[in-house]
Amino acid sequence: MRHHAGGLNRTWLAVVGLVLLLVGAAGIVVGAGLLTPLGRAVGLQLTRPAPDDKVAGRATASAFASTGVVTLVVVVGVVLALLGLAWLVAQVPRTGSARPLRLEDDPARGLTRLEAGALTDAVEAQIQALDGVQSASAVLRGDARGPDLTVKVTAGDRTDVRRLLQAIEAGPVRDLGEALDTQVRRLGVQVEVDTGRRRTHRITL
Amino acid sequence: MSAAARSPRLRRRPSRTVPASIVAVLLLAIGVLAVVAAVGRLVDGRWASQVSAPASAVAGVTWGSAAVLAAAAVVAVLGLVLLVAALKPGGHKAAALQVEGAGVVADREYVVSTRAVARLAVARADDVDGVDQVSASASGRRVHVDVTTSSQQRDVVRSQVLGAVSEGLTGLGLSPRPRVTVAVRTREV
Repeated sequence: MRHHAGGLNRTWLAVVGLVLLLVGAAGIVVGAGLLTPLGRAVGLQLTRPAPDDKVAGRATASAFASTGVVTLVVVVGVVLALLGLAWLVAQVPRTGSARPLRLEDDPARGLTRLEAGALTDAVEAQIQALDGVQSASAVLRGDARGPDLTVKVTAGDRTDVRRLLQAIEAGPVRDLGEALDTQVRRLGVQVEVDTGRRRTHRITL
Repeated sequence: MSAAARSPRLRRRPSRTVPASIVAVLLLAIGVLAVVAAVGRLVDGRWASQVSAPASAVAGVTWGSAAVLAAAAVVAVLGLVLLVAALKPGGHKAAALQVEGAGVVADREYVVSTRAVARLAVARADDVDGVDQVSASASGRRVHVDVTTSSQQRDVVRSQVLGAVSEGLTGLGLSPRPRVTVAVRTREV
């Protein structure tokens, strides 16, 4: 029903994972004393850092004493924090529902604005009135010339799902198209099943 | 029309929200801690003891020490886990339904969640005489039903449950049709 940041997540997880993998592998190569032989194998003279060198020597300590490096740490910290925050915010699913539909071609002759919520409320009410439906929610995307409707419908476990889907398309979705005087460009229906009311529809003798 | 105005596909792969949220929180925390420590250094003229003490401890360690090797291995494994999470497609949480439409839409996508498929399988199996308890699990291509019965005719119960569940799922219009398996456990009376 909603937009998730799947592509973004996978891309950045791959980037962060690759960086961590390379850093970890580099640490193992240096720590295990494999840097020099590996460098020689590819034609490079790599002798530093050696396994008995300290992780951070005097040069590193003096670098972190300079104001320039400390300022750089602030900048890098701000960038990391903003990236993390933006990535976290992107996890919130977005509905992306349609903006108010404009139902007149020529604005000079007047314009009718129709909230997408008014249409989806009507669609939901019609679907909930269908046999076997326990609840329904709808999202309208696109515009008045190409509406794109997504519905989540929860049915009982005795419901004929095929018949229900046909009834949704033949009833509420057809009515939506007629109300907008166009064909619904895309219909998506996600079916869920709830067994909550099952016991109330059963008689034990 | 903007890309955001189009509906997402209902049958999609996992979006890896949990690992992404964890890494995002860690990035945020590291960034904030770095800024706080560095600003403290700029204001006071020296690094706070909470920063300098662990930094000195780390700086004194040699590259060949077991601690560095262990830390590097942990970082490499974490990286590998994140790479696998990013590259492994993951299973679908919904199955596609093939249902003839009424011809009033240009494009349609009908899906049913795998949880709903499992619940439908439980409902069909529960209708079979002799079934005491039933549970089911479903993935995109497989539905497994666990049945407990006190009947002595275990094979009959299994075949009836298999028939009922298969018939119910065939009527649903799942595409591709999942393979149904039934395990029956006899309960001693």
